[in-house]
Amino acid sequence: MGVDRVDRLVLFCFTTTTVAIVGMAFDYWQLVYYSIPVLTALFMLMAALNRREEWSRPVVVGVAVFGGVMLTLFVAGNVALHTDGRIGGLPVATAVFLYAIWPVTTVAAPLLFAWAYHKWLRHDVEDAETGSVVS
Amino acid sequence: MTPVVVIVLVYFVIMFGVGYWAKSRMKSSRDFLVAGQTLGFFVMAIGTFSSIQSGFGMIGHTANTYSWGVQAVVSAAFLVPLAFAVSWFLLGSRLYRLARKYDVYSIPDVIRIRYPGRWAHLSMSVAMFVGSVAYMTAQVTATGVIMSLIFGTSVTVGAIIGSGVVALYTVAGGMLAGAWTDFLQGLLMVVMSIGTFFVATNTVGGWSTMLETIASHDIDFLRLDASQPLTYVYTFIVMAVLGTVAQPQLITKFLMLRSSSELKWGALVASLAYGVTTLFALSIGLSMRALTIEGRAPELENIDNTTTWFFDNMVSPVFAGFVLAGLLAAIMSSANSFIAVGASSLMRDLTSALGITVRNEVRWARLASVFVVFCALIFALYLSQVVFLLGAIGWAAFAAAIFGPLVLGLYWRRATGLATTVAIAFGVLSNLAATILTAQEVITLPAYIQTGGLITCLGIVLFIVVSVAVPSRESLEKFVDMNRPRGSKNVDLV
Repeated sequence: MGVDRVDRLVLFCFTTTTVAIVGMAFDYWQLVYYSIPVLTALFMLMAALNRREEWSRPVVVGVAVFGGVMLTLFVAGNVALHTDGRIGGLPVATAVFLYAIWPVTTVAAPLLFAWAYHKWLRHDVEDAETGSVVS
Repeated sequence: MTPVVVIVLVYFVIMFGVGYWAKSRMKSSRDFLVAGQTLGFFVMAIGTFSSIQSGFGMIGHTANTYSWGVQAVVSAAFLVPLAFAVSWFLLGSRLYRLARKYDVYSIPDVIRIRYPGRWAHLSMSVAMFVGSVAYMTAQVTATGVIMSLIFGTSVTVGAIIGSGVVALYTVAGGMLAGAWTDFLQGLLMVVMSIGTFFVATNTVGGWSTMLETIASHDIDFLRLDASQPLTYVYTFIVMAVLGTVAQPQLITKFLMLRSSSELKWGALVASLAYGVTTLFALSIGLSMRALTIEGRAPELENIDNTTTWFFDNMVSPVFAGFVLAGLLAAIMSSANSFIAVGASSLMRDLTSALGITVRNEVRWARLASVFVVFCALIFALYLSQVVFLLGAIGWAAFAAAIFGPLVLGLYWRRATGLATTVAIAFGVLSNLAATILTAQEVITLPAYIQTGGLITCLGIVLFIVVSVAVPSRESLEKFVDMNRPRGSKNVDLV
């Protein structure tokens, strides 16, 4: 049995999750922190595969852009963690979460799904609309 | 009769009305367990968010925000909307396909189709039943507290009345009633949270003034590392995100959609609705902290009273009644989902795994629903030690037990039934062990360790390791069969 795309993605998920576990167990918060955008992008990439394990190039680019934006915001939050400035009444790192990461992930991520579904994933379920159920 | 009582009684009458309507349409177990697969995206998405946003999400997060600072909602709530998007990505089309190809009404049904043999199916069925009773027990306790506040009864009587209400409409109308009451309850929670945000922040002069009051007293309260260590906070986020994707009350909603076109916008609706309800905990938690700094509120010894103190003292009785109805909605929307999941696991999944054929499934589903509520009531009111143990089998146990076997299993051909059984056993037993050992002070964990997130991740890694270490050709064949389009011939296993 050869190694396919899902195998590789599962390997990446395994590695990222293991790294996160090390951070959780030995108090390296950065390892846990950065596992969040990485795992999110990996799961979205896995879900962007159709039943024949094919990707749509525009959808992969869309997921990569979203993952990149999320990672950038996480880096910004990290860099600003111990600064003294304030944005919108909050310390900068908290402001990055409350005014940027929260709204971006709440709105952009589901919009990305709606676009990916319309563009690509819906073709995967069209044949399920007809025919009878198997017990 | 006070305005609060009137508002809540009107709310109960509406819930009963929905239950009666659903009962009149109840013809089969498909209607009872997956709402007849008739839901549109809006009802499904609002129902999904409201079943995830429980009483703990509203009252517990508020208490923690008051105590810990902004980091409480950052850790437990801010990235849950992202988890809805990830859920729709990972589960939407795959589960919809399964629901159209097979008679799939529950998570154990998916496991039965995906993996060979009896053990994976049986262990998931048992985990679903125990987990549902555990969740329901927590909701019974929360219902008792809110009902006692509204009607002035004891917590025990409040719990019995509240559980009776939710049991009545769920037993009568199954998930058809559950989905529509979840929808109405979700709308109520959204409206209530928006209103609360403006009322709470205006109590202390508005959003900016509130933050200024807190910052001038203690800027650290607003930092991400205010009270809990950063590792704890970010591990909590991991648990919140992965756990949301793997909660049965969310997963089963995908089996209830009426057509594939309903998948497209559901994630956006659920994410926005959940995001809006987060404003409840954020605004009351921070405004209560500002009120305390200003000397207008006492420093609460029991932080669980944060929400009730605010509504007892800072708003009109009518608005307080409206909010209490919204809090009951949050609790009941989670409770009815778990009654249905528990009933399904008992009446359909366990019996099927044991080779028992059930006739008249609707009648048995109703009896099983009553049994779930009865167990939860007995445990909540009379067996505190059991409640303590059941509390461990909640969010993280489901996450560790379900994420690998179901979420990864839908995509990964190497996933196996043995790994499923191992992950389920690990998820349940490790959470129990962590709870007992820390409570008995046999072990003392460092403050930075968040056991739920750690066990969730360990469960996923364990599932992958066992799947690779002990491969199964039968599991691979089931995967290929599951993904084969209807009417196509067998293909070679590569």
